[in-house]
Amino acid sequence: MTENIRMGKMVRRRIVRAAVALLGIAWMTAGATDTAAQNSTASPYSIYGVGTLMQKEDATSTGMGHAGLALSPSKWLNVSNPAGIGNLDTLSFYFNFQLRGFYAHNETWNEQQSVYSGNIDGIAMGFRARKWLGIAFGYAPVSGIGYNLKELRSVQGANDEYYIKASGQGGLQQAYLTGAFTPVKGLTIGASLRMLWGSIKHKEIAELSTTGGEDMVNERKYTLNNLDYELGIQYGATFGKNTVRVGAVFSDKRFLHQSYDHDASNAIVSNLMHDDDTPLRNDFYMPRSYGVGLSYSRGRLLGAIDYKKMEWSKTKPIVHGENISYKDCYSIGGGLQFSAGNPNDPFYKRIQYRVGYYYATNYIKLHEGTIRIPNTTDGTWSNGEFIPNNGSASYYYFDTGRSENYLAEKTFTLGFSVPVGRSANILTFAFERTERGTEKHELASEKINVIKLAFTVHETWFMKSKFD
Amino acid sequence: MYLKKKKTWATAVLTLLMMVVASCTKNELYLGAGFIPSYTSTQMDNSMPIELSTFKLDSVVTSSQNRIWVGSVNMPVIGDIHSESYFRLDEPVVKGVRTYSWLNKKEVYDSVCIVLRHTGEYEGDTTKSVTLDVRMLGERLERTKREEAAGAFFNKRTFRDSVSIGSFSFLPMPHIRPRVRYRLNDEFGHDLTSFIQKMARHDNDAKLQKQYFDIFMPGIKICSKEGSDPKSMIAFRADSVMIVLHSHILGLTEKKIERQFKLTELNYQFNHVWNENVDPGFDKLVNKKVQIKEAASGLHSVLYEGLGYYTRVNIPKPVLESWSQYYGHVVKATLKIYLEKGCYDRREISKFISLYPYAINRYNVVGDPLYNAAGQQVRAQLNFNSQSLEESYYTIDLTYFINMLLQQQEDIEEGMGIVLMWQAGMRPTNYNFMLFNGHGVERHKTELEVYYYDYDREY
Repeated sequence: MTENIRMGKMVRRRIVRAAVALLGIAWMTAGATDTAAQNSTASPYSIYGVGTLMQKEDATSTGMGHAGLALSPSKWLNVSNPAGIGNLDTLSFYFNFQLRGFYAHNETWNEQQSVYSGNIDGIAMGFRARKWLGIAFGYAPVSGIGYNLKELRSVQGANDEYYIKASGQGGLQQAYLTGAFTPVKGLTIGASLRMLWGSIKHKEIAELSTTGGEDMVNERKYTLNNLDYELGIQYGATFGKNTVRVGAVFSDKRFLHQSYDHDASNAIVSNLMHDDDTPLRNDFYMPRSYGVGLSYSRGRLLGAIDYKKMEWSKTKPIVHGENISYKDCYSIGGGLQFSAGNPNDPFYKRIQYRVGYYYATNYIKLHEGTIRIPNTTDGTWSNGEFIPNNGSASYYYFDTGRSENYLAEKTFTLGFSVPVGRSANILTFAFERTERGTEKHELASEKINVIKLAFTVHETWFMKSKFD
Repeated sequence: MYLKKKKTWATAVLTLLMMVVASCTKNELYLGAGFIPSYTSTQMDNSMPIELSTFKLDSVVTSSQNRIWVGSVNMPVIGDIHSESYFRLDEPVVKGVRTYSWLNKKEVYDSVCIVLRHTGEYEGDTTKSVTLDVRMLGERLERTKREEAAGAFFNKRTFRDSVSIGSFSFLPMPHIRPRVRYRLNDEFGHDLTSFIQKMARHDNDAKLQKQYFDIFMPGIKICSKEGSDPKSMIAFRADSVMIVLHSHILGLTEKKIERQFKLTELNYQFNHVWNENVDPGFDKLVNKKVQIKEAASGLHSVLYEGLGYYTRVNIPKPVLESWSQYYGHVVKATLKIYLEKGCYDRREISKFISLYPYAINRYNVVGDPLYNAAGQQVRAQLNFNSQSLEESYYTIDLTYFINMLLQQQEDIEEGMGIVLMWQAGMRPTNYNFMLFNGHGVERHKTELEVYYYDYDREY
């Protein structure tokens, strides 16, 4: 009896420590996003909305084309679906932290841009609190913003032109607490309570010194937060050597509290204008989203496919001045996993290999507009900037045709997991290659290479020793 | 097992640090007009109803400028301008030594002259010579308490004169700066000789000698000779002026002696300047409280420092107030002031580069010089078009000044503006006449170009 009490106290202490560590890392990650300029994307299109959407998932799912709604693993934490933690080992405590690095190459019809960066992609902990109840909590990004753009503007009423240089940072994040229970064999129901928060930072430098004036810096920071929930369900059945599992998730449209800070400054006056914590005019909602998944396993082979949809068309653009609208978007992704050996095989035989494909449309709908191309006889291009010969140039104008869906992303994924020694700890790698956008219509094409590295620590905290 | 765990964690932390620290973006992409969602914009507004006007400073310092301006000239708008110069001379020196010694019976008076050096500056018709009169003052050239406090004499100051001690005619020639010597009346020369002989008896009492000298020669005035009709105004260097008494000593070889009466100090020389027959309206400029708006002076304004005429540019308060209500910032404000064609000689244009703006309030009290954001004094930049004088104009960077006014918001002072002045010590001359086009003229009007940057502000 005394031994049980001591054991219980020790486990609780460990859980509390783990939770504190998780919160600390999450806070550091959020801080890094804000201050250290470590963007999680380099997409020019992240200038709109809440930025580029990110997945809450383990690197295992990444390797399988972001599929995971119908997976119920016992070796790693599946946070894609709240019901995905229903099959955790009763004796273990799971800890996962995941890094993400990317190299993006963006191209327009006449310019190129290469960006690399890295960030924390997720942290999660989980355990089985009761035989019928699995618990997980963690941190994951929701969206990321990171762009560096420029645009030629005219001084109204004068012949002068100047460049504005726009850059963005930030994104939304989430901290979640998930519970999943199994009311009947094969059926798992889960729910996540999520704290969404984050900031969207847009910075614009108007290079008016080229007209003899003062350069201007205009910075806006939109801060959003609210509690949210997500529901999930999984049902699995085994037929001989075959196991089939289906899963679904649902998250309703959710209002986000928002405020914004606005600063204008230049080299002479650092606080020309400062709006602090001002409520915004437009209400902003995270859209209703839902998805369904199917998985099938037989022996060493596992296959999964997911379909997800987000109803963005029912929300309004968040940033004042966005010249776009939102549209519903969907994604479909699936993959295969092949386990080379059994748990007692040598290290190299226990590697799991994954491959997948993912296709997703974008929630950003670009409006039609007008392209302006300078007449090259009036000047020269230098470092991506058009320099008119005599201070001004003539331009060609034509319709963009941007209403078409050019922003769908096509992703090819690979991955593998490596056991660490004889322990149950796993090192998971995932690679994805995404292509998005087009060089037509004065847009940019993106080629993004992402590497994810996940450490899943598998501690047997709950095993009672039979001997002192 | 424990070591393996530590290695795993160390690898994780190391990788994490590398990825968090490293990031790189090389350049910005251009994705066409309108891709960046922003309502920021910059507008140029040159419709600000600025107004030029001319006002007259009560007193203009004309001392310590090393210029003896004498003569008369006729200028548009401001009529006939007359100038005469006053100065005070010091006790005699011979070869640099102050002395009143006179060798009685051996030393003989020869002549007395005035020596001057022309600066090369002149105004008006210089094909005709100017006849000038040198007069002894009838009262001591002394400063009043106000002048003493200012350490200067002003353009309105005059002293009573008594007798003419000589006159001469001078014909200025371009680019020639001769040192000239004109003989004064022998009557004055004899009086001066007698005075020195008397003073020689008090050779051991310098104080007494000084007292008597101040009575004998209280001051000198050079002016146009009465009855002459000068058509030009000419300038001499004040530090070159002196009266020289020539004598010689009788003996086997004749020995010549020069007694020089030099200028006491530069700040004891000044010019009295006044005008007559001015255009209607300008005669009302009796003090700085009065100003003639451009509409009342042929859509022009005047800068003529010798008479205290200055051009001011009024920045209308209502416009500033309306701007201060907007969410934006003036990133560039340039005042373009066009010169009236023919108001200056194109050969002289290089002189006009040291014009500076100063702040001025509604009472025409001149404030500090204007500075730019870098802390440098703002100077009017002359954009001189040698092919077309009427295209020549000054540009003045008022960005910092306008923003300073806008920062006052509701407390923007009524009637603020700028005044154009020559930088102290750098003015070409008090007598450079400049006529500026007003804001109301049809072509080449003076205007304020403002580049206004609007913030993209949420409501």
